[in-house]
Amino acid sequence: MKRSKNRWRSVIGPGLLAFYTRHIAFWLLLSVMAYWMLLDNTVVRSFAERRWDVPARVYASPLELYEGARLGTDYLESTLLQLGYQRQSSIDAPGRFSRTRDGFAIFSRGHNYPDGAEPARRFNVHLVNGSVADLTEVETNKSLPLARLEPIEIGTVHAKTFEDRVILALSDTPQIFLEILIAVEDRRFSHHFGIDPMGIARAAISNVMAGNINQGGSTITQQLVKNMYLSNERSYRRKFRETLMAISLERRFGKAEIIEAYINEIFLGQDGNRAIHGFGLGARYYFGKLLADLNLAEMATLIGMVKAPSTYNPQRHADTARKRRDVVLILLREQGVIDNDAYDHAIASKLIARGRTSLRRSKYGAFIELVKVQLKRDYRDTDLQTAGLRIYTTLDPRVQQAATETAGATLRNVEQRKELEANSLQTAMVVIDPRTAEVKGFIGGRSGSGAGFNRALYATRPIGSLVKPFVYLAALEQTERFNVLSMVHDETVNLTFASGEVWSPKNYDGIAHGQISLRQALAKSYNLATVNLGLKVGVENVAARLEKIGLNRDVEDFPSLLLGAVDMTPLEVAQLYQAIANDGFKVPLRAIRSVGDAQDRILTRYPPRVEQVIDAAPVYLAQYLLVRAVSDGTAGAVAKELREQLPLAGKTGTTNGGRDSWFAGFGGNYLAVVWVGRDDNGATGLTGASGALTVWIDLMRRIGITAFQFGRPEHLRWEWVTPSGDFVVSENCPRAIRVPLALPHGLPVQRHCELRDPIEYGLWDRVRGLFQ
Amino acid sequence: MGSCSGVVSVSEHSRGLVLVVASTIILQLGACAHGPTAPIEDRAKDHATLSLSIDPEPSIDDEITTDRLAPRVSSRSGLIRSTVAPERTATRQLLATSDVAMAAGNYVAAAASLDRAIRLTPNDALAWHKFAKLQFAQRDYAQAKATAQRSNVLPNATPALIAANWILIADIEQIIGDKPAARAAYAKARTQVKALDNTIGQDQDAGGNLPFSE
Repeated sequence: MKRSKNRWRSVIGPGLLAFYTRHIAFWLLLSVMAYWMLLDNTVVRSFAERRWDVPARVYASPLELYEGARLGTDYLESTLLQLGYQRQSSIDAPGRFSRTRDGFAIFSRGHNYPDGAEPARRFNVHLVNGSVADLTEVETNKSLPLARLEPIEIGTVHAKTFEDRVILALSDTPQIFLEILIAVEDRRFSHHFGIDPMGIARAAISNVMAGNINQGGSTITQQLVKNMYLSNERSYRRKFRETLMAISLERRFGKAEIIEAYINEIFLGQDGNRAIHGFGLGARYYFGKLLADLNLAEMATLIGMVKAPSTYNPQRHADTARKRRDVVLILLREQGVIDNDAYDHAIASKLIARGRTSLRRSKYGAFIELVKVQLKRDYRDTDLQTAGLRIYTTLDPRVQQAATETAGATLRNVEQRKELEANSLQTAMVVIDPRTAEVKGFIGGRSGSGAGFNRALYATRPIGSLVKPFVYLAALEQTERFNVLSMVHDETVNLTFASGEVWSPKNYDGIAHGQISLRQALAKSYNLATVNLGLKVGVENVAARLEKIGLNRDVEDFPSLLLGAVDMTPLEVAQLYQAIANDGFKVPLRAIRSVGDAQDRILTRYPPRVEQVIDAAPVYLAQYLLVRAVSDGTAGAVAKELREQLPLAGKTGTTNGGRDSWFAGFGGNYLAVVWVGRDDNGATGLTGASGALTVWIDLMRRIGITAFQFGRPEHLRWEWVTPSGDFVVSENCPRAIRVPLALPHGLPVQRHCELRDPIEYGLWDRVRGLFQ
Repeated sequence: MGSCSGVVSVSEHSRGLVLVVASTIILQLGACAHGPTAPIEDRAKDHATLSLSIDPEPSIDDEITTDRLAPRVSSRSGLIRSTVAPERTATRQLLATSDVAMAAGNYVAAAASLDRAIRLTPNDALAWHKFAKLQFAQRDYAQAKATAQRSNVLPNATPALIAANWILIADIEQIIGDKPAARAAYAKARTQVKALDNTIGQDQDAGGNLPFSE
């Protein structure tokens, strides 16, 4: 080696060597400068143009508080806790509540709703018998007509990076938090120029002593650069880049801007495939609170996590996290950031992290999928994933919770009672408000998890007898030909198709019941009567009705359609029944109320869009028939179990062998469609009544269905008529029946009461009726 | 919102004005119902000749034991709210807010309050009527007509409100250019108003001054 070096020297001579050395040094310096300028340019530009990927946040409908609102004590408390409210004796700051003798004292946080800001305010809620009796604002001591809590977040729409954060402005960050952060991570932050030579020296010594690189000595600026632009590798090369970039950043941007970016960028752990970034989301994810609401111990825990987020995760490693927190607290006391009292109090406090509930994902998964389907019509994926949109949905957490519980508990009962294999049944439920068509609850499967197949949205199944009301509706629209008492033949049907195939449907009980009224035929769900009626009306008319009412699916007008040989999803069924429950006014089902941007400006509103698809009077008659199915028919269990809430309306549906058990029913405030069956389409032996109906009743009891209120169609009149619905008679006639009739009903008036058997009194009575 | 004994005067056939008048009547009557000088309910009960499109108290046929099936109205005119459901307080507040926004031409704010009112009390015919008026103001005529019709069928739609809905529908038909339909709609409004005329009695001129003569 030595010799060769000497030989070089002898060849080029001492003067030349000096020349080359200077040259090399010059070029080296130049290339470093060039490299730096390049980096500088990139860093400065990208930092100036930085935009955080903020996923769209999806919110449930907020809890509205007003006099008369139905609300239980337990539910209000659980909502407050879910929103991260703290139960305390004095409610001196937003986000706190206390229980009073007959209600709650709440200091709400307020929320910028797209339809108007809800201020943070202190009020008392007085609950009596499960509803709000009184709402009083504390400051003014006046009654408050209306207040709402913040909405519960039920999901997010992520980009592929799965970064999630809650953006915080520096002004929203508590001063003490910043002081702690700087004390722990970068004591000389306000003085250095991006790197801290003292810190580096200290770290270097420690590294040399330890024999490897384990201490960073990184400033906040360096950490920010590393988080934003560099990989996680620990090498001198990366360290070198980091140093240059940190200096660049400091040269061009102020300390405030740097620390604000840091607060939002810092990585704080992983929740499944979602990456938790920033202290805003950190506070919410680990403690269920806003950053401003954290106490000293919680702040210390969160800041302590920066060093190694997964090691010091307070949810998974409570002990390690607490030790780290204590280290931080000791450091803070040493540096004089906190006094002894604060220290004593904080160090003695228990570390309580929010439970690791991935609940929100599982419980709301099916609904979020529905929301995404609706969003895709109006928004691009990238906007949803990165622009921090706020999606305000129609979901009622109370209904969703009840539906999830029902799906589990009631199906278990059904399986036990019917001696079916455990967990063999599946279900789907759609709960809506029939007037506004808002989807209040949505269950895609039994576990309630969104991970599985979303049956409410995607499973198409034959609807069986659920189709029947539409057959009767098509008949009743011909007001002069049919009324609810019109007679129809419940007798054997044999239809021979062109193929030579013969179709001969049967009644469920195997018996033909002869001449019966429409209202009895539907209440008892007789197949033969329905087929005969449908053939009179015309299968193509029934198919046309379904399409007009809102079925977006080609319907073949085979006679088997009359018995429900048409596949639909539970969501589609809900849309059809919505039009019936809503007096013939179809409103497209909606999962979203509005979409706002990250600054809470409204982008899109989705108000109810009403379309009258059938005249209200025949729909009234169909509602009447469905009420009869509950009071006097196949849905009789409803009348028994929900006696206080009557009238309620509904229809059972069953397909062969109980492959599908359906119930669609409604009252005043809710309409719900329930499907029960097996994923392999196997027979369950259940009828609509023994399967889906049981689930429906249980669900309605939990969510509190109210009585159905009939509308007041212009072309409808209640009249006393003969038992066969042929004549209008005086109410004093002994066998007269009062029924709703759609106008024009074309019934002659009969002024006497000689009512004989419907078959017997024939032409003469009619003629006489005409002239009297 | 005019006084109870006040006269609503309308100079001529002005469609816009008709709407305003109809609304005024509703508000006025609503106010009168609670006012000290107007024992309307008592008088209304005495009016045996009154005919409404819906029989107010139909009884139920033999097989149905519950009487909740049939529609009810609190008074013959349907004008007087017998009991104001407590949640209506919140709705009324929201409707008032939306009225103010509407008057200022701020349709976005009006829509926000109306949406919320309809969500709280989806059965409220007045809320849907106001929603129809908003859609009309935004020139969404097909929607406005459907919404007005929706409002008409709701259980708590009063004759006065139904009249206002028909006038709105008639206005829409005129704008669309369907004169027979407009005429028919005005006629329906008139039927409702005639019923009101009977209930209001002689000391109130509101009915007599309506510009409904052709």
